[in-house]
Amino acid sequence: MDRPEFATYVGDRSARLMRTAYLLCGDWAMAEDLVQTALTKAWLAWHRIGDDPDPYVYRILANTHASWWRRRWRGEVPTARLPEQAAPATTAIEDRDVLWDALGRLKEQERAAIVLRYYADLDYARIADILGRPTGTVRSQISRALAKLRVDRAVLPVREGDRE
Amino acid sequence: MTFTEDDLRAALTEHGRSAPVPHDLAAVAERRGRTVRRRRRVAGVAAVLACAGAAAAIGSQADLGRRGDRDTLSPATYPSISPQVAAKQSVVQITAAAPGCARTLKGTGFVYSRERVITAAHGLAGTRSVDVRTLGGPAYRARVVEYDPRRDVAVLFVPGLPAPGLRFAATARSGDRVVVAGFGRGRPPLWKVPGRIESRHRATGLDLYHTTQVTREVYTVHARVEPGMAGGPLIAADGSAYGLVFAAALDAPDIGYALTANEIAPVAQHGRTATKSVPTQTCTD
Repeated sequence: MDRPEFATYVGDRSARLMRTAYLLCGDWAMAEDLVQTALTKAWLAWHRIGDDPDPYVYRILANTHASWWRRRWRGEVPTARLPEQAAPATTAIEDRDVLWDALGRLKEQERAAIVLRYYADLDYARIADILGRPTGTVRSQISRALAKLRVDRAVLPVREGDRE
Repeated sequence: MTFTEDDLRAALTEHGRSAPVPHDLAAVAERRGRTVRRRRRVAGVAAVLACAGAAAAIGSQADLGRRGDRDTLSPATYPSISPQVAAKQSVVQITAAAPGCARTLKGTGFVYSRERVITAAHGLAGTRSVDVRTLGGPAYRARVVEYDPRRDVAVLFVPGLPAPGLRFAATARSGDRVVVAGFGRGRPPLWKVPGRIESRHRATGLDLYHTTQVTREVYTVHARVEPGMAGGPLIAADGSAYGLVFAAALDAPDIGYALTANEIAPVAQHGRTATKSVPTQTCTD
């Protein structure tokens, strides 16, 4: 019985899950690995997952990424920058690329909170539930992350120079 | 002037837009899930997936479970003791002189069987005379009876050494708590460091003398391993040994590497009854 349900869920959500994973790790190939690992775990636990699998799947996604990230970071030299992307055409997008680069410089935990807040559009309580941290911690992590983005050297000059 | 929340939303939604969404995600997840479930059944391992990123590691875990190396290794039944007590009783300091290269090597080892100490081979390379002492105890003259430069494991026969042996544990899971004990350089004697198993994998690298490629089963351990602690045990919560610490990561101060109990089992087994001295070849660079 769980099969069609699982397949339907994946069909509906795969694009969103892929993008969430991409936002967490900044690399499409790794995002696919992450999503597949998360979905494998979800499939194994499918009968235990309630009506709304999203929080569960997000949680595995975030935890798996955190553990991979830890391992890689320990073993290799960390790179603050994300992989290069093709140059976009318009100024607005350029600004957003700068913002994207700055996102890559956030701590992994802050970044996960930002992604769940501004991409998955979840409220603080659900983010706290997914990341296994107190709501207050999530709130302060997000506000700290926003503050960091605002003072990021790369974001600042673009905003002040080109837009004002 | 700063960006707005909408700018942030847009950046998150639009960046790297060429999202190659694989169409067979559900089928792949199901196939992988079935494989994992089958292996779990074989190994009788429940809920391994609870630890993140375990999917890839499960296959080998199942295979190891079947081999049952643990039974051949553990002498009868031991009571469970605290890692601290286990360390104090069974971890020894090894002092070895290598006249050929004018060096004295100081390292750590642990008793695992009557009058037998297991340690890292690199701490004995090229040495001629070896002394062993427990914390606060007298020095005993030791003889190298097993020397495996491929695995980086050696066994010492220490006649008269009264210390009880640690038994070997079954395979650890990632996240398991451990204590790494040893005689770290510049630390108080018998330094004990708490840590956690990060992962277990087969690692390929060069042997002690950089001559051949070897593949060994190792644990990556999140613990601050100091120089001088190589050869010491990775002690489990029940006082048994998960493995033998042999290296620390060069670029991360709190990551160490240990050979698993499975990996050192053959050498340990031979060493149990060996009494004949074997050559320790030459010093390593």
